[in-house]
Amino acid sequence: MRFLLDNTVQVTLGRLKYSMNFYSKYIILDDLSGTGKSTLIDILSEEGTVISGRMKFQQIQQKDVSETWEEYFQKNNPSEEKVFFSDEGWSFFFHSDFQAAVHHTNAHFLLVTRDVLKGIPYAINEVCKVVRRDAINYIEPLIKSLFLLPKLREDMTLFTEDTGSGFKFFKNRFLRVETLRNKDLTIKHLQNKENICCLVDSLGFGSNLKDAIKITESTENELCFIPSFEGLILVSDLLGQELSYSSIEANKEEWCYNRLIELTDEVGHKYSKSGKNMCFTQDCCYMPVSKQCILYKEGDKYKLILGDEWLKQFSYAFGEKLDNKKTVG
Amino acid sequence: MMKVYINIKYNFPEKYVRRPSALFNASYLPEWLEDEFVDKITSIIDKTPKYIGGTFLSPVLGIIAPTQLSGGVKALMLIKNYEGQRNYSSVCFGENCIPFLAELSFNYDFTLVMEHSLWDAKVSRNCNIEAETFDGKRLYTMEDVSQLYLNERYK
Repeated sequence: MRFLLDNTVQVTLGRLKYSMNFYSKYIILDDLSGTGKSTLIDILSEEGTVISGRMKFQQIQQKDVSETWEEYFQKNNPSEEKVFFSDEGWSFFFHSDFQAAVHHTNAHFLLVTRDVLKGIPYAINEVCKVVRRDAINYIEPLIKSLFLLPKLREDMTLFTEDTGSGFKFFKNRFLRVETLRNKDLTIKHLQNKENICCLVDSLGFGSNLKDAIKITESTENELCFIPSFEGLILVSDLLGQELSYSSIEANKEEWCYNRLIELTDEVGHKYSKSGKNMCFTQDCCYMPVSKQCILYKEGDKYKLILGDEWLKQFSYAFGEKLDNKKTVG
Repeated sequence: MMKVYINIKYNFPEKYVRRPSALFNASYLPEWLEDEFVDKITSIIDKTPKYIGGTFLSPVLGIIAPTQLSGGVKALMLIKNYEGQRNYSSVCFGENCIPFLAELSFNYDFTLVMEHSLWDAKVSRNCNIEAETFDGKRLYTMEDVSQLYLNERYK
């Protein structure tokens, strides 16, 4: 998946060099002790530090008691080129109004924290660590891709977050599929059930990522990450889109859903989260072809096309050979 | 003995440390550094062995003062040496601090307020500790501590 924006920043003070890329709204820096997280924060605050690129950095300070966090950020000129940063341990990280203000402010954020920030829906590739190579400290995601598909075993049960389109799609393709009904139950299921794979939305699972990985490392359960079912359809050959939300887009899942609605409305076959639109959840409708089936037409055959790369990954995951094109009629 | 407190279940009534740097920088004494334990934690966690005259040799920063050590190392030294504060948040520590927290639990009394899952599957399972929960339930390994936290957090 290509990221459209290159917001690479190099931070240099003396022989200390850091490099990071703000292709997305957040960098949540959560790493071992002694890796240089606080050193980065210290040098960002120094006068003599050289910062390349177009981003402007501002440290988050304790605010006046009379103002809200939203007012605090608005007062400090948020923009696509602005990065608000903070070191770890501040108690205001826990405050719901701080988290809500961060979510709604149109700027980038670099937060050093081990806290679970439930009120900020960040993606799995926004949780980062420090990697030192050739005397430069790179801030890199723990998981680079929004897709993470494990090898699934036949006796596994696949859990989806809800009973929407994603559930219906996988129900047609996998033996045992159940739903969590509430995505907050993902971790609990990973802890308490056996032989399961939880399919989670990589766009919003960042705050639970490390807990989930730690649990799967000590059990036989697996995690499967996809960037929301709507994101999956957007990037497939069906629509051939890129996830081109702006780098400071707070709700990426909502962006994917709205974009999908916009595109499918144009072809007169509007996408529905409830899965009533069968063309998104099964290979081809088994009903007689109607004029509404114009998602893809090759000659006189109607087809639902899924991307080669996507299918390859899912074939691997589900252990079956999936045809790229299913036809009817 | 390490007392373990799960901060989701109750509001921890007393002050506890979430940012050890400020307290350490204002409190440490030179004799704190003359210790095999300090040699161990600075070499293993910060990759920064002791140098001369109370300084340390960092492969990244060069010769540094103790105030430039990592937060996790500072918090471990505070637990060992500073009587004025015995309550520390888990967020002070990365997973590479787990073996040293376990070691301290046998000889020092302090409270660990669990605010995140401080857990490395390989290390924690084999890390025996001298610990109990705030309501007296005995804990035997760091894995017990993290499981308790995760069970409460995702109840």
